[in-house]
Amino acid sequence: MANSKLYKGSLQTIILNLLEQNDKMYGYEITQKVKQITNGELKITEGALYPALHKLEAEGFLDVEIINFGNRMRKYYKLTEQGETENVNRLVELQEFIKNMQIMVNPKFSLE
Amino acid sequence: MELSKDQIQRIDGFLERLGFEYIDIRYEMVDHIATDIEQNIVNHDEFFRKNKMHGQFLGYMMRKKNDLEKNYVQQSKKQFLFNLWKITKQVSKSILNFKVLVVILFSFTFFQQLINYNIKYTVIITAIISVVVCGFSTLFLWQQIKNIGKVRVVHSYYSIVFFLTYLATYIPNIFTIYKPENHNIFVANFHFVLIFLNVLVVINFVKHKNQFKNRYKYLLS
Repeated sequence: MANSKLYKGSLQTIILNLLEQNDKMYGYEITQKVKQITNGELKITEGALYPALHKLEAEGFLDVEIINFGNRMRKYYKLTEQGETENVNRLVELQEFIKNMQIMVNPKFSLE
Repeated sequence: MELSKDQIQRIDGFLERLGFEYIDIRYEMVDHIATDIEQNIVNHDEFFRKNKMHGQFLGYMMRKKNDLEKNYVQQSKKQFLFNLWKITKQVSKSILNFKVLVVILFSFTFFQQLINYNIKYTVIITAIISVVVCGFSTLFLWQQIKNIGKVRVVHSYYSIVFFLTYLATYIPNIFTIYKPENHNIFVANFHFVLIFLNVLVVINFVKHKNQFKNRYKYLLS
């Protein structure tokens, strides 16, 4: 992950938001989608992705569907209703955070 | 092109040999690795060919080995914590159920009467019942691991019940339960709580057993 410390706190929000836009996704697909959207700038490792997915699942924000894919099993993740609400809340929090950071690091060119 | 059954089994076998015992964590890693190979390797047969001293597949897996091990240990630990939290929530929910609450309150009141009547025998009998109940629960869940397979959540139930059995056996040491210094209200109530906790954890497991079986049925067959 590019500058992992900065992204670490937002990983769950990134996952929730991706699932909001893509209905259901599996682990590898999420890593590739993030890589594609950020032009390779942000690479989510398996070590960071799966614990985050399992945590969101345990908290009831994600539902899983295990399907037979070719010769193996594939676990798809999708948002629950609770997850959709959580995504909105986290996006609002993240936007607030970005706004405040912009004010702090560059007061002249802040959003307001 | 999709990987063949043999190729998938080679990935799975490699992970199994690394000691990745929980199938519910392993199959997701298998899918991740398999997808990565499908997306990035053109000639799968050449990649998986065994007749070379150092096959490409082995080289690929060895390069990933440290990350995979770190990832597995991390997932395994975190999943245990999530499961522990989930099971605790389920058990707490069961306790708040009206019928269960009535049974617990009624039993507790009756139990306090027994303590007042004769604390020595109440402690001894309760401790023995507690050890037996915990022991049977541990055996029952061990059997389930054999039936359902090495699924992390089933193992988490087993670990909890095993821990409760440990507490029942050593607080105080069951072989010293006849000693007068152990005949007190704390020991009596402690074992009373252990019995109920154990029963509730096992009931919760039985409730969710089919759900686990259905969820992992493809992996178990």
